[in-house]
Amino acid sequence: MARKRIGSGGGHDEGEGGHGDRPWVYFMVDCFMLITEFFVLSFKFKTEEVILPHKLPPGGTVPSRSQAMLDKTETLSVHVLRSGNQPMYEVMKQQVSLAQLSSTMTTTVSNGKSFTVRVSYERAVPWEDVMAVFNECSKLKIEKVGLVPLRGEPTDNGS
Amino acid sequence: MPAKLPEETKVEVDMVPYIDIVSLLLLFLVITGDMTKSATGVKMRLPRADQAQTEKKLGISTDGRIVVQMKAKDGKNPEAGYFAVVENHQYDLVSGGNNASLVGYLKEQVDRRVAKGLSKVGESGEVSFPVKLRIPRDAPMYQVERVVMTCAKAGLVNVHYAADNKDRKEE
Repeated sequence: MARKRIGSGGGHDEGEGGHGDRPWVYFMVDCFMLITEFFVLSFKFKTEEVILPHKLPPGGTVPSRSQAMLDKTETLSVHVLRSGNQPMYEVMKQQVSLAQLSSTMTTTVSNGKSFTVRVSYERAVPWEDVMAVFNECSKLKIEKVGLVPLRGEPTDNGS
Repeated sequence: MPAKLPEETKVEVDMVPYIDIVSLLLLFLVITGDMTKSATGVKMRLPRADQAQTEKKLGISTDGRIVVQMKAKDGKNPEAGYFAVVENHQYDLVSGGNNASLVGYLKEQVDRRVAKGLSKVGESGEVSFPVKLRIPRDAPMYQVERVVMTCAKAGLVNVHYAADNKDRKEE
């Protein structure tokens, strides 16, 4: 900001400058500038992130098959794995792509049965492959979806 | 003979419009800016889900929502593992979601919200207010499972998975 202080020694005596009788104006302007600079530098636009809501079964995992049989609910098991660099889904003993899984699930669920989808996975499968199953379930309005936890998962190195 | 200095000219800045403009700029920045660093502080590529919507469109409440984010320990090497980030605190992820300090912290947060009357505790210790999970799309499932299990242990079963529903080219 172009600003010239009039007079020697930085004084702002009456009659020397426009704000001679109000020297605090300079400090106020400095503070305003600093606050503005802070906001400009730390500014980030608000972004509305989208979410996919999901209700975990109590305890976080789906009931066992035997429990599901006792509850008289149909279960559909989907196993997520990677073949090459592509996600593959094992459903009804067949390995299918996501598009095929979608059509299989649509056909199965359109029979009018109430389904519980059990999603199991290999340990190194990326989250987006499993999220794709949740997305399909959401599309078909299947609410009971749960993860089948990995068995024997003692190490941290993914081996 | 010394050169004659030009006569000092008096420069006067009118403060009133200046302060008005700065105030307006500040107001704009405060209103449009995102100061909630803790909620989306970890930069990540989210998984794609075309069914994902904003809370407003889904008509669901975010009252008392806790945000749990996953952050790679080494951004260049995802194999190095992940942290769970809750309100700027970092926690290690342990097999079976058994990190006592993280479960303890989440339970403390849950208890506070229950005390405020945001939810009742269900039969299995579950509460109705949500937890938002921000998980990078390339995070391996054995790490994701740890976060999910931790939340479930704390009674947080109403999960909002952060996603990306924009059409974009695969890189």
